[in-house]
Formats: sequence, C-alpha cells, structure tokens
Amino acid sequence: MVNVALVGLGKMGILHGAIMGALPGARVVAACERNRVVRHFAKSALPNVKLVGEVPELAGLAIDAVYVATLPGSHHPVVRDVYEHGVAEHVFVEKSLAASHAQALEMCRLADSHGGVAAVGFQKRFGGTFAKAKEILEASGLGSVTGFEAYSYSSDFADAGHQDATAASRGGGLRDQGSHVIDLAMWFFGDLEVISPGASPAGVPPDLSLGRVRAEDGVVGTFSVSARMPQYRLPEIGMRITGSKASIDVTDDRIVLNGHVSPRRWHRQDLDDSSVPFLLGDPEYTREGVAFLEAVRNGRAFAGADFHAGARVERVIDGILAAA
Amino acid sequence: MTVTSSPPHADDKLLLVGDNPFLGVSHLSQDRARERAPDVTGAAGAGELLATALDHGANGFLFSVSELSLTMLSTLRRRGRLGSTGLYAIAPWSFEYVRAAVRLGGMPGLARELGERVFRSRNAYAVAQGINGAVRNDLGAVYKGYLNYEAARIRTAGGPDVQIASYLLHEVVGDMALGLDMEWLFRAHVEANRRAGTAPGYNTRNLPLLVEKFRRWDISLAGAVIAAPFNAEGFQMCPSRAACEAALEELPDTDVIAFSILAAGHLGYTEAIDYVATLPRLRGVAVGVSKPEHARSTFKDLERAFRREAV
Repeated sequence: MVNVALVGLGKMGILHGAIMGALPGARVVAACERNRVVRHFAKSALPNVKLVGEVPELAGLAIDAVYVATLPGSHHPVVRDVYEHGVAEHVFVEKSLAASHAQALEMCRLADSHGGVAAVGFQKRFGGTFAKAKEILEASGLGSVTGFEAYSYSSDFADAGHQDATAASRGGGLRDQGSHVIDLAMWFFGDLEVISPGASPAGVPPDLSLGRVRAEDGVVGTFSVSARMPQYRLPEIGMRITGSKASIDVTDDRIVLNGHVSPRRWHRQDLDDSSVPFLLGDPEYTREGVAFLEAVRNGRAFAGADFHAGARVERVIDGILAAA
Repeated sequence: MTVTSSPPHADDKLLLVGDNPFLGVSHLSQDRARERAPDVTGAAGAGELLATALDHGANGFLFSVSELSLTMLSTLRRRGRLGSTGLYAIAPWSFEYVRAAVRLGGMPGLARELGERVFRSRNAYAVAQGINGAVRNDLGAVYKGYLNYEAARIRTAGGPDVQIASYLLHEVVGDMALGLDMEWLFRAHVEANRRAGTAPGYNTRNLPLLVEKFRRWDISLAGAVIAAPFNAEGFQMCPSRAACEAALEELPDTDVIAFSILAAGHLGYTEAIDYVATLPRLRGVAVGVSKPEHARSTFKDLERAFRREAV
C-alpha cells in the first residue's frame, strides 16, 4: 500500500487526493494545509486523514509519496522541506514546477541527491489525443517537421482587472495553463530555445503571452497564451504541427491529420480515452496517477514529466517573459 | 411498462431533456460548443427547445441549478408546463463553483462568496444551518443549508408549488467524495432530500464504485435516483461498460437514468437508442438537444424503442 500525503487542499490537491484514494494500492493518510480555517473544516470533512499545518509535521507518519498542490510560488520551499525533513521518498508536484528556472534547478538538485520519483503534473501527456500526436510524430507521419503553432486559452480571468492579484499568484497565464503546452512541445520536439517574443496583434487580451522558439533540430514554433478569452468556456490547449508531407491539428478533444486524400480525425472516443479505473475531471489525471504509483512501487522512471523536464519548461517561460 | 409524455408516473420511462447543450457543454469538442448558436445557449432559445422536446415525448428535465436553467423553469411555469414535467435538479453546478474558486483565490474565497450569497438570500433555514455548521464544525449541517438555498432558488423561479423529483449530487463533488471516503456528505445529502420530500440522487461516472461504497457504508440506494453514463461505446463508463452494466443489475429498486447515451455526440441516434433500449433496468434516459428537429424526434424515437423492447 502506498501512503500518500497532500500538501495544499485546493481543488487540485483534492482532485489528486480523490484519485489516489480511489485507486487500488494507495490511500491518503495525511494532508498539510496552512490556512487555519480550511484545516479546521478539513478535519471533519476528511476524518480518516491526519491534518497538519506545516510540512515538517508530516515527518514520521510513514508517508511514501507527497502530492504538492499549492501555488507555484511555494513549490520550492515545500519540496525542500519534504526532502530535508525526510517526509517521504517520492514527490509529485502540480504544474508548474516552480516560480522560476532558478528555483526549478535547485529542486532538481535536491531531487537528484535525494533519489526517489520526482514527478511534475503535466498530465496532458497522458491525454489520448496528444499521445496520438506523439505516436504520429515518432512514426514520421508528417515527414520532416517544419514548424508548429501552439496556444493555451481560457476564460478564467476574462472578467478580471489588468493587474489581478489572483491571476498573478497562480503565476500568470503563461506559467499556469501555458506551461502545459510548452511541456507538450518539448515532449514532441525536444529542448526549446526562445528566439524572440512573438508578434503581438492589435486588440489582444492584456495578458496575452507570445513567444517564438526553436528546437534543437531547427523546428521553429510559436506559443500564444491567454486566460482572458471569453469564448473559451473551459481551458483549451491546441497545436498545429506542420510537416513536409502532412500536418496535424490537435486539441484536448480531437486530432486531425491533414494532407492525405481526405483528413483523418480522431476524437477522444475513438482513442478509448475514458478507459480508466476511476474518472474525476479528465481521464489523463487518473492515467498520470496510475503511472506515478507504478513508478513508486516498482522503482522505475515516471512515464510523465520529471523535475528536469519541469525545469526546462521554466527556462522557456522565463525566456518568453524576459523577451517580452 | 407504459410510456407517456407527461406526467411521468412510477411505471413510466423517464425521458428527460439534459441541459448540457444549453450550457455550452460539448464533450465531443469545445469547437462544437463554441459554434453553437446563441439560440441554443440563450435563455429564450433554450426554453423553446425544451418546450419543443416536452411537446414531443420528453416528460422531464435534468438540469444543473444555474441562472440559465432557472430562467427556463420560469418560462415553463408561465406556460403552465411545470406541473406535468419531472424535474431532476443537479447541485452544485460545479463548473460555476470551480471557476469561482480559480477567480477568488481558492477554497477560502469560494466559501466566503457562497456564504455571502446564502446570507443575502435571507433564507432563514440555510443561514441558520450554515452558521450552526460553521460553529460546530458540522459540514453536514452546512451542506443541508446549502441544498436548501438551491431549493429556494428553484422555488423562486418555478413558483412555491414546484415539485422536484430529486436533488442529485453533482458528479464532480460526488465522485470526489467517493474517492476521499466522505461518507458524511452522502448521509447529509440523504437527509437533505428526505427533509425536502425528494428522492436522494447521485450523478456519477463511477457507478460500480458508488454501489460498492454505499454497500460498505450501509447507505440504502432503494428509492434513490442515479444518473450515470450508458452508451454503446462505453464512453466515460468507469471502470468499464461491463462493470457498469453489472452494477445496474444490482440496483432493482433504484431509478437509474442513463446520460451520455450518444457518447457525447460520437454515436448516431439509432445506435445510441438501440443500446439503451436493451437495458430494461434503466428507469430512463437524459438527452441533450441542440436543434428543433432533434427536440421533435429524439424522445419519440426513444419512446418507440423502449416500447418495442418491452413487448
């Protein structure tokens, strides 16, 4: 049995906790929440879970793995406490890994010296449509890839003011939802270097982040990220990948392969995407949780993003912000 | 088994209009949801589609408690249609609350916002339960106060005599509570429904797990309502179509309502209807409609298929 502790009882901590609680071979035994009021009510909401207010208090509770689901700015000190106080051997950090590339590098150093699984919650890699895109790319289904255009849009802060503090505390749109699409691009094309800010068209939302990047093999791509797109009821990530023979349009929901006699289209349903042992939110969360538990149990590498992958994402985010 | 368009009786199949298309939800693709015309997602257009469906075989409405669905209830009330329509209310409308949590800086902000809304509603029972629950750290009391607040919103829209068949716990909350073993929430939900004179209801994508946990907790599902995905593709039937079909067989005294019968628009109507009609334990189905022609034909087709299978 894998004993799991949650750090942060916001919506992502609760989601990961529920998935861990529902999967066979894992159980949530403890949680750390600094907000006194939330902790007070969580004690009666989760009677089988030991509640504490500080991470070091989790030490000695026979915890195997910690899920860190606080705001990105606190990930670094939380992870440092987990390792330094011997709270658990294995750590899962909700995206994005840190609040800066420098913090992320320090977290990598801590994880490398400590050992154990060090995972980052870039669950889009476990989504059926993006996995299909990866499969097509690895089979050279597009010929030589020449470029990509990626976006991450949501309406989460469509009604917020220009300097909204809550949006800022989540790392801004780029670090929050945008980190997913940067991770996907690096999963597809390898390491990326920021070469310039993207061109900013007139009338764009005030938080729109644009970046132009180049992969090691010369593939050039762009990112466009905003949390103030009113028409995006749910957060959506998408990418158009162009190759010498064909192109792909992929989102969370569907993937279209263009360039053949007639386009081929797959929806989640075609990819048996909802076949998971427990479904809460999107199925990729559960697949990611299953992969994390497999890595913890078997001492294998995590099939998703590790801290080093998370740090590379932070470097690109810092680069785009610096270039803007 | 008889099939009628209205009102639904104990032996009728429930043919419910689902509200996803009206709320701009498409589990097939967000492109499709964005492309839907305002005459589907606006209150007037949605109300027309609902009325058309009710005129053509539907006998009820399964809805999340949202401003849009409340406006639609008002429209039905003005047209004198409410008394003949089975009403199944899902709460909380998690989409709205999750968005609010993001916007308001997490759970404390959301709790504050919701508390203020309940307080402003001047619903004495809800306010008292909320305060009492907060002081005694009794979240069951807080939940009962919250559900009473939602019920009052429905009465405001639908009139004091509006009859709700069941309040269903939204899947995001219910499935989260299953994973975290929050038995107290389900017990509070049962009590809140009993107090309201309604059947306790559960909206879930994890039917076998719900059945297993309720058995372990000794919470009866007799007389309850469960809405769960059932479709020929097994889409969102967790952990598998076979397991969900087996769980359905274990629930002879529960009104199980199938949703996602079209696998979010991936299946054709004929295939979708043929499959659910082969599951006699289903009490009914909920289907969203986004076009008048669908509103006119879907429920008649379902009615015919259930009648054919019943013979």
